[in-house]
Amino acid sequence: MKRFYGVTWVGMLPCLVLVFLMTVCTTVWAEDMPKERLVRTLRFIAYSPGEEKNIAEAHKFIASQVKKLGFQIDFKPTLRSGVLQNMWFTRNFDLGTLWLTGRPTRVDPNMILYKLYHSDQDRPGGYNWAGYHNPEYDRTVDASATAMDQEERKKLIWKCQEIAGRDVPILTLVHQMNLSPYNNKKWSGFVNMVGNGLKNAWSWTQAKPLTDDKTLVVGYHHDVGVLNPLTAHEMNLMVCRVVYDSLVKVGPDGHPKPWLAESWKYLSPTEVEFYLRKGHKFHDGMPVTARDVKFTFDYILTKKTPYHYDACKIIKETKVIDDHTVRVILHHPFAPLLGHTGEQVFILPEHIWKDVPEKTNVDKAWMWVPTAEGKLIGSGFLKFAHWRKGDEVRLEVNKEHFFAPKYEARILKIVPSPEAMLGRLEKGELDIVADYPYDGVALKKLCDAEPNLSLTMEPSVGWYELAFNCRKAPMDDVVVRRAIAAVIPRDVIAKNIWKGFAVPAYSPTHPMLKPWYNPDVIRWEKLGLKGAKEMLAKAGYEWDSEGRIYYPKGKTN
Amino acid sequence: MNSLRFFGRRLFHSVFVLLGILTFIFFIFRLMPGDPTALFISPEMAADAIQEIRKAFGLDRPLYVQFFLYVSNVCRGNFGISYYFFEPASRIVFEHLWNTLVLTIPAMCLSYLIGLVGGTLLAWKRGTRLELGGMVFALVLRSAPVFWVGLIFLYIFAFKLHIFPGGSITDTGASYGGFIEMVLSWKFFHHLVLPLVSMMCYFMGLPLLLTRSSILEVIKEDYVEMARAKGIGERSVMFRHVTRTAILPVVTAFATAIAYAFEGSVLIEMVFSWPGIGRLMVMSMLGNDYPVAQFSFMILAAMMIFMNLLADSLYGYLDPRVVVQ
Amino acid sequence: MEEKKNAVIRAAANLRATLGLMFRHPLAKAGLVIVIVFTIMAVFAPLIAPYHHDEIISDSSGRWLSYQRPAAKFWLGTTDMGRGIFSQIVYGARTAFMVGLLAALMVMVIGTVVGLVSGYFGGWIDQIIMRVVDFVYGIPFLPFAMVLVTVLGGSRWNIIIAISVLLWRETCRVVRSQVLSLKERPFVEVARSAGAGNLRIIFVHLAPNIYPISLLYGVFAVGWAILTEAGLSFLGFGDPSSCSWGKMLQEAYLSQALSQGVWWWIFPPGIAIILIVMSTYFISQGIEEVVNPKLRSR
Repeated sequence: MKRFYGVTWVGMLPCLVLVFLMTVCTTVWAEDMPKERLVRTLRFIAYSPGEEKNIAEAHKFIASQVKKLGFQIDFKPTLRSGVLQNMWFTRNFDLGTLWLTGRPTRVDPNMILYKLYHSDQDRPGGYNWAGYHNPEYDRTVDASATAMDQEERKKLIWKCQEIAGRDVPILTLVHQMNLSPYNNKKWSGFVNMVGNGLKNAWSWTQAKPLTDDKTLVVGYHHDVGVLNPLTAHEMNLMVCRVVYDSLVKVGPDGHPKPWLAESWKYLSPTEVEFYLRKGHKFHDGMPVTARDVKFTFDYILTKKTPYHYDACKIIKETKVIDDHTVRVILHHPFAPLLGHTGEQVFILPEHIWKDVPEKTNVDKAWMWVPTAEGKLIGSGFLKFAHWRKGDEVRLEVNKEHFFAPKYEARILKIVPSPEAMLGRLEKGELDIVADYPYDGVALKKLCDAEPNLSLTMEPSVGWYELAFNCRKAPMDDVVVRRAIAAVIPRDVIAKNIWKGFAVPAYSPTHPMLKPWYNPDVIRWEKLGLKGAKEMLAKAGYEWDSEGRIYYPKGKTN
Repeated sequence: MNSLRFFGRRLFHSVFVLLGILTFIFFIFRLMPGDPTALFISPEMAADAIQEIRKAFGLDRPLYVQFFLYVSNVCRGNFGISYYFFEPASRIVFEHLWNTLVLTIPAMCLSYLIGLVGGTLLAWKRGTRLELGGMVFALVLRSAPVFWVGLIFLYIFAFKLHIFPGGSITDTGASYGGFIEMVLSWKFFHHLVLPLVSMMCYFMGLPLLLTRSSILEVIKEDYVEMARAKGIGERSVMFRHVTRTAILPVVTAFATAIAYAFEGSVLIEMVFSWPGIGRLMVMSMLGNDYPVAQFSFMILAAMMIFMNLLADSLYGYLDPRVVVQ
Repeated sequence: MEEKKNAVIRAAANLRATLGLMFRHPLAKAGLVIVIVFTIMAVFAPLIAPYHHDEIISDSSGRWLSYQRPAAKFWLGTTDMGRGIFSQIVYGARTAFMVGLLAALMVMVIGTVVGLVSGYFGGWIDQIIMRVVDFVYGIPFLPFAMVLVTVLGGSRWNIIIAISVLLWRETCRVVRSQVLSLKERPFVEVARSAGAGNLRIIFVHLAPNIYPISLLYGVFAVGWAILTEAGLSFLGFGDPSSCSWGKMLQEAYLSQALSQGVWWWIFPPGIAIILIVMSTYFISQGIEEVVNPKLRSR
């Protein structure tokens, strides 16, 4: 057995040499430039492909482009939890990517323009993860929120986009397409809403069955976690938006339309009166009155429920004038009131929620599970029927609703994999998939091949972005940010990585959103690589013989 | 009785090991990046809401306090609340556990049955081409990644030939009175075939090879020579004298293999979107739902410990030649 | 001088004899050939692969050549982003070897040393070590690797650590039981009475007898490590910046290659994994023939 020594060592040595050869990487020091001016390796945090395949590819592409400018990049795809932790709290990055989902509450431009760029949103958990501080921008966006005159507000919103495009703390990349395949032989009447596709309340109320099957089966890929109108999970919102009413709902064109509030009147810039529909009832028969509206706003403000609190913070006081009139008094004029607060807040039945959470087994109102006690009662056009975990949520039509749909019931079906979803669409087991999250190419192929499947595509109001950490060098220099923006061709990304299932996002505001979209926001990619390098050179940046980039004189890391 | 005492002693040790693992799990999951706030954060959220959320989940307390609460909760059978479902993690995990069991146990039993028979056959045909071919076949089975086998089966039988469905445990729109009713339905069986066969392919390799080599070892023993010398027929020698002893390592391997199968089922469950405990663990880890991931891990660890314990005791019990230490 | 030269000649002859014995089995021969082919692939990857594994191949108009079928231009076709699959397979061999060899080495070293110490010293040292081994046995492999990668981040080194930290348990157990049976043998007594210290007995007298089985499990570990790395990458817990066959399969799965019939993306990585892991089993057959004379055909 002693012979084995020999064999082992003879076998081991080449293996070790092999491993060494393969992992060795060479760094060569160029001696012609002062080391302290060398721009350090940049940290680029990004999602890993398992989370979101397209954006992961875009990151790789972006990293390779940025390297062309002479930057060294430490490209770190991480799991989503790690990315979020870093972007929101640790802030240990130079470049990072994030993704915003499209929702009706984000259709009003204020949400994005304020939350992502205003300096007081640069806080742990805040969405200004770029750390952008510009007093001129702050003033403009604040003014746009209080400007009640449409024309005036439009000018200010255009200005915000212009400043954001000039300073480029965040490079908006693409609006991904909302893909909604549906069965056109069984259903019609779906309504396309700007930035949201077919996934909106107007679709659900106006859908018409063309056959005897009066149950609309909607496919969704995520499991419903909890059904509670005070929590923000996406799936939960899909159900609560239809089970509960809000005062207004953002219409297909992006502007607020009457819903529970039949009309409203501004008594002064800070006082609004809402006139509720008469005779409307909750699903358990109790009438919906102004008292419920007041209760809802007060409840959210006192309980500080995480999701709605911010939307209600603008409210100073709510007054019940009579059974169907409620007066809301604001701290200051707030133009997006209807688009945000009006759309977002679900009107809760006072007689159920006044005991929550005190008389329940949870500490927080937003952790309560109303379905366990049959108390998911709203006044919306769909009533909660049952929820089978991991399988489906069944909602039945509330025939007394002012916008009652023409079908009988709607089932939200949870389908966990892309193959299963395509298969079920093909077989006709799913009538519509409100927001198909997977590869568009396979879906389009199926819809083209099947005559009874139609496909609607609408660029989402949400988008993917590349955020620069403006808090530290080198991203604190606007020239660097512009140069990087210049080498990222957004149309190439939309066409090749998303295969046409995205549109380039040249501004934080959605391109179809009239009148808010500013088409003249500066597009740095027109400069290209050559223009970018010229811009950097003019600002004093230099390169060594290896092509690595150095700060201008007097600046270091 | 000796082995019973052995079993008792090992059980006692196992409890300690399980406690050690519980502690280990607690600390390692606290090191995970992110916390439940990631599930709630949205631009619509207020600034101070984050602390509120952390407090609601008990995450704002110092680590040792959290650990103490954790231990006392575990002793009372409370394994935490899911960040996503707001329900006890144990309930969610057990629901999914049944789905895994109903896939894994039949797969292992069938694999080992086929492996035993096949391995015996191979040993019998010692030195022939069949044996070589059989061994290569078994090695190929063991070398193929189990998820890849699943992918290939999916591709051929689900997408090209449309014989079997492309995943999940049952059809859309199918509803059952309960778990048992679902398991006994034809649709369930239809969905079960591909994942079951994929799992079997991988796990069949070991019993095939192990049976063969075990038989070959025993066959050279003296008492087998004796049996032959006595004039007992070859077939009788094979099945009566040899197999009984040769089976022992395979039986103990079976017990350990079941433990591996549970945690290995992660891959098959992901490929086929089978709602089992493995898939639950991956999804909850990717989705920041740490209490559920933690409890899934715990269950898997407990099963592994128990199965190893069973395997050790079984070996000691079945083989009189082994001296239990 | 003459003596030394004879010793070297004898050692070389010994080596040749052992290797000959190991590779006499037809399977072991086949395994060796496969390993050599993949080794060449791994070492000379940049020379063999026509493209870099991350390189996006575009045509003259700038269009990315995605989903190209295997043809003369692209031997195994392209992925959904226009990357060459054959190139990815070639570069993937590097990751496979690196992870496989390093993890196996660590497994072998840790498992053997711990097994030797535990088996030889016995008593409370043995008890403690066996409790640790029990603890390690109770940790589910894949979930633990997933957790470790989530905490430490996804890189090849973390995967190697995750694999080695648990995989040594099997080797340790086997080595320990071997040591237990050898401990009472006369040659150990002789060495002890000759005044040899514990360390010397372990590493000079016992170890050579342990080596074959330790090597055997080391070779198994290469295969297991490669399979585990593929599994982890497939689930999304791999190293995103490296090219591995498991990652290729993950990308194919996520791009819905199955429903689009992109067979040239699904088959090659799996076949590559099968070949390499199989070759380790084949070679281990050869080793087993040496280790266990009872298994020899003749």
